[in-house]
Amino acid sequence: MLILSRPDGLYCQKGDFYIDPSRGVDRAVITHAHADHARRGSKHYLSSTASAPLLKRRLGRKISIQSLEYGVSVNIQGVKVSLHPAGHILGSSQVRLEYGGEIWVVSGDYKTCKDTTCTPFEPVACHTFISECTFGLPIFRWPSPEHEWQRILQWWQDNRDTDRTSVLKVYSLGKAQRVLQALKDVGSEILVHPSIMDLVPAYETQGIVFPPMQIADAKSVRKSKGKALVLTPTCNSMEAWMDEPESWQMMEISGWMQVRSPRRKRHLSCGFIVSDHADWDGLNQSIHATGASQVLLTHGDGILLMNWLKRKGLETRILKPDNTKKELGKN
Amino acid sequence: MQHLQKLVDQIDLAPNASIKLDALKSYFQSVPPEDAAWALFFLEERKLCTKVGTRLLKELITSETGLPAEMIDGSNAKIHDLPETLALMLPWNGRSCELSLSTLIIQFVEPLAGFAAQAKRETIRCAWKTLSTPERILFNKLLVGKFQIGIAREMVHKALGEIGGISPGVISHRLASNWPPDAGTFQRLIQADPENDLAIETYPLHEAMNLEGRPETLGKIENWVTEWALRGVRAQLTRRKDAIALWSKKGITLKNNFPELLNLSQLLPTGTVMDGVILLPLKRHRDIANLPKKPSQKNASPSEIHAHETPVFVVHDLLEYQGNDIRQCSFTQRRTLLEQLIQDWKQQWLICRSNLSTGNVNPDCMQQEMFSMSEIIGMESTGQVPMEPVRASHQISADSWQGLRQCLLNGPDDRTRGMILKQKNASYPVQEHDTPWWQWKPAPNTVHLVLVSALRNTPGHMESLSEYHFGALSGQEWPCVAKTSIVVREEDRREMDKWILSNTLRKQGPLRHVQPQMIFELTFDQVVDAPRSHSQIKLTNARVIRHAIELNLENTVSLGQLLSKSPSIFDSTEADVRLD
Ligand SMILES: [Zn+2]
Ligand SMILES: [Zn+2]
Repeated sequence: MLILSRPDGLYCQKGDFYIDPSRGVDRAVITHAHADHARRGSKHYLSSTASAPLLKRRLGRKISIQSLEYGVSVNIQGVKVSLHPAGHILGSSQVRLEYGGEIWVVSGDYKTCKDTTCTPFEPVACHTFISECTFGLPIFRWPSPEHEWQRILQWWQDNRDTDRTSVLKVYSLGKAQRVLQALKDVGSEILVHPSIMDLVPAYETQGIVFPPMQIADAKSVRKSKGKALVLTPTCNSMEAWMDEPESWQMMEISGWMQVRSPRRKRHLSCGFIVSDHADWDGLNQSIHATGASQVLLTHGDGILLMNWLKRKGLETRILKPDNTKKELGKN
Repeated sequence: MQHLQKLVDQIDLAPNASIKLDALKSYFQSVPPEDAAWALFFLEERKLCTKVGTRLLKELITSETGLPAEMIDGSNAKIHDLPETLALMLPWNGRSCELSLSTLIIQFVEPLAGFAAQAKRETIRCAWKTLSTPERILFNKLLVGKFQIGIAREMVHKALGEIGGISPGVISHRLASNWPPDAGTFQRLIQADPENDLAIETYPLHEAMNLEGRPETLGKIENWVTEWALRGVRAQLTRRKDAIALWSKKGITLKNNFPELLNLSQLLPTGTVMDGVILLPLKRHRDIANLPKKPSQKNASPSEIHAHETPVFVVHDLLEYQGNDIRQCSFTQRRTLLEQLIQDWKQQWLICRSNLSTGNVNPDCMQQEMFSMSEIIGMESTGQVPMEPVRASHQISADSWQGLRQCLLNGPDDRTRGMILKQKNASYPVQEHDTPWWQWKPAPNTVHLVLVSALRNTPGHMESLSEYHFGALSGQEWPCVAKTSIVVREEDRREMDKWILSNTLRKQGPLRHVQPQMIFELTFDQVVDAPRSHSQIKLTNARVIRHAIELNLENTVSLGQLLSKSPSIFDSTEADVRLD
């Protein structure tokens, strides 16, 4: 077992380091800068070159961080470690570990469909693949992103026609920049929440071009009322900025938006189907492309995917944070 | 098909009712009438016989995708909508279908019922190929006959009414018959027909106001008439020319819900409009043993109720007499006319009955050709013609307010919710400054219940809760029996909010479930049936009085106790009546 699942994260005993630990540790390899993967408090961090500036923004300027280009390996106590593009957000990586001829790959979050703000996912050959499975149900099969960008533009236009401000609720890291990039040629009157703007320079240094945009605040939002597209990670701010709830409409952008059934909808807002995670086909293709003989699923309810992979003759288990204690006892 | 899909999309995204209404209107106005007719057919929740079951669809998906049945069921367990699950399992297709809705139905849906299994499969497969993923969801819903897309029928009627410049009530009346979904039907539907439409015109019904203080403030009791406030379906009966129509308070036709009442109303003279309450038959066999399982909706179907007993229309006011609007007349005058009218009607009815029972039907007493003999005879043969299916409301006599108060304390039975006080010389209340009817309710009941969940206010306002849900123990569970946003003491509300937000067990959208632990004293008016809720009952007009800190869970009332208190009536809201 090159990697163990411990209560505080995936742990490589041979190299004595963690991957995306949930608390501060001595040495942490970070797949990407999302908050559920990158946490404060570790003594040393290792990440991809493109991820390092984002981690510094989020975890603090003073962290000790070593960055690696994709495909370049380092040796940590005899374990050969390299990072490979995961296609999830800027700088997101899969982590490849090799020791004594055995190869493990931890996928982190990944997707296989087009995203112009990051390096595309590359399958990495391995013996054991630890895959996320956020959307591990066969009902999740994404439309092409272009299809959804068109829908967003149409919606924005419809809102302008009826004098309403369009508000997109997006993660400030990754999704927001992906949307901005997709709208780069049509952008006029795009306002973004400061937390999104904060992360834009890290993208620009990677050569990614954005449409002209302004910081969203009470003044700018009111000024371009009825015309603007506002990107924000939270709706609280909009409520503070705009008095009449009728004057703006908010939509989410997420894979969950694919499910429309009324029962579900009662609890979810409406929106567009653009995800930074792999869909059912993406998961299956990626898993098979690694050629792995053992698959461990994490980050989602993977029971259906596990059964499906087993049917296809792949040895598959679910790696849940809940049963990590048991795992630990076993090993 | 793409237009219907676009409509569904717009409805999904519409932030408010007026935008939904606009979307509906522009849909009906922009598509050809034959497509509009079909869309309306499904929006009216009518079903097309396709003889396609979910099993066939599942088999098809398995053969198309290689996904076994367990994968389909496993996925559906997450979204609880099989037509949608099945559609989403096919690879995404964003290309909209060029075929119109009616063409699609004529080519792919209507013929299915006559096809053998193999031909059915081929046809459906072929349809799926031409449809985009969102369209496939709709198509599958059409196939299995569950076309629920979150548009209320009232809104559809309103949209059509606005297009045709006619009242939504007229639309609802016209749609209540068994119409064929074709272009002609749709065009006729939205065409004004002034002469006939006038015949089914309705009046706005007055809703009694709550009497907050003492009735003594109303002055002398001699100036007032008192009636029971009945639980049932508030309705307006219009009888003009050939048209007899029964309307809910919201102006929805109740034609299909109470056919026997309509038949008997043929005996009323033309030019009559009455305001009253339809008392629904007692639900005789409440099966407590089966609780808290939800009953199938069939249990509440009007036909089954009618097998026990028929509904009674209790008329409490007369709005139109001999074709004249008499709302400006005093209550006493209207009442006199009403009593005379009902008296005459009863006579006719009795003659009719006796003639029918001896087999000699006197055609003279059948004023209209719409009067259906077979139905009267049919009822007669089961021996279940009720006494006086139409009658004037009962008036409570009391010499003093104190005497009336005594009546209120002793009097109300399961079918009442207090009294209605009407001023004798007042006109039918239409405008704000008209003397209203007053509803005088008995003092509320008190109960101790456990907080089980709460509803978050609006997305974003995470910290504020808008509705609190209280449960009563049944087995291991605490099904919710009362919902309220009224908390009398502000400190209780603050405490509750704080506790809920820091003790949330499980979030379900805006709902916060908590450990059943905090006990509150609540007041309520009545225990009524709520066949669609988990507990099957609900407490009406609940209010949180105080946090009952001294009590523990054993002191709270159980669901069984509430059920035994519950009046076994089918207390129905409009929505429930429209189950058919
Ligand atoms: Zn992520
Ligand atoms: Zn993640």
